[in-house]
Amino acid sequence: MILHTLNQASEKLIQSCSDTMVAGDSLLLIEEGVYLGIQETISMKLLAMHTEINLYALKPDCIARGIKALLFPDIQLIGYPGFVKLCTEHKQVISWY
Amino acid sequence: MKSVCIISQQSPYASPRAKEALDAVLVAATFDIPTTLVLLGDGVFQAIKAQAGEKIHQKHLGKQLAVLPMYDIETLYVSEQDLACRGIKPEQLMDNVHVLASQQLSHLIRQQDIVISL
Repeated sequence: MILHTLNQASEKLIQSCSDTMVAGDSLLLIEEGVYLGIQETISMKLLAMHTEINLYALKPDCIARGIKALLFPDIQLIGYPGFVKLCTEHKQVISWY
Repeated sequence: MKSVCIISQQSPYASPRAKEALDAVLVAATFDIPTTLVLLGDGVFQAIKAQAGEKIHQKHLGKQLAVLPMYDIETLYVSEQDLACRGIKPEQLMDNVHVLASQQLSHLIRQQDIVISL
């Protein structure tokens, strides 16, 4: 069980991340990475293929960028306390940046 | 003793990050910590044999990776998929590099106690 955090709107990065993920892992989009969570993006389609991944995005970053309403419905919005909680619940954290 | 896995995702010369990842590996190895280096994404460019960093007045990163066996780090791992989509063939890499499919790499990473991505 790995928590992956991704902080850039980069297709290349999400591809690498996606290649490394297995069922049960969690992905948290932060900073610029939240743009990847927009429903219409290719990256979201890529992630949708991963059926058993828990998807999260950091709420303050989404709100700041005005994209909260555009996000893929399966993404759960969490705040900083939720971020900390996720870190403690996973054995490892990989930052994709 | 906990095992450490360092993941490096940066190409070698544009930023100091690749060098810093290697430094972290060397430090860990100096303390006899079982260390694994994994090159992902643009990090696979670090493993190209024909590097000549000195041409741009930088240290030859490939040469430094090549001496890792002296620190008991026998193998470094690169992602097969990341190589392929960047048009690099395994034979263009240094000898101590192991090419693994993403799934195997993912499994390898999960076996380590501590994962640091640099």
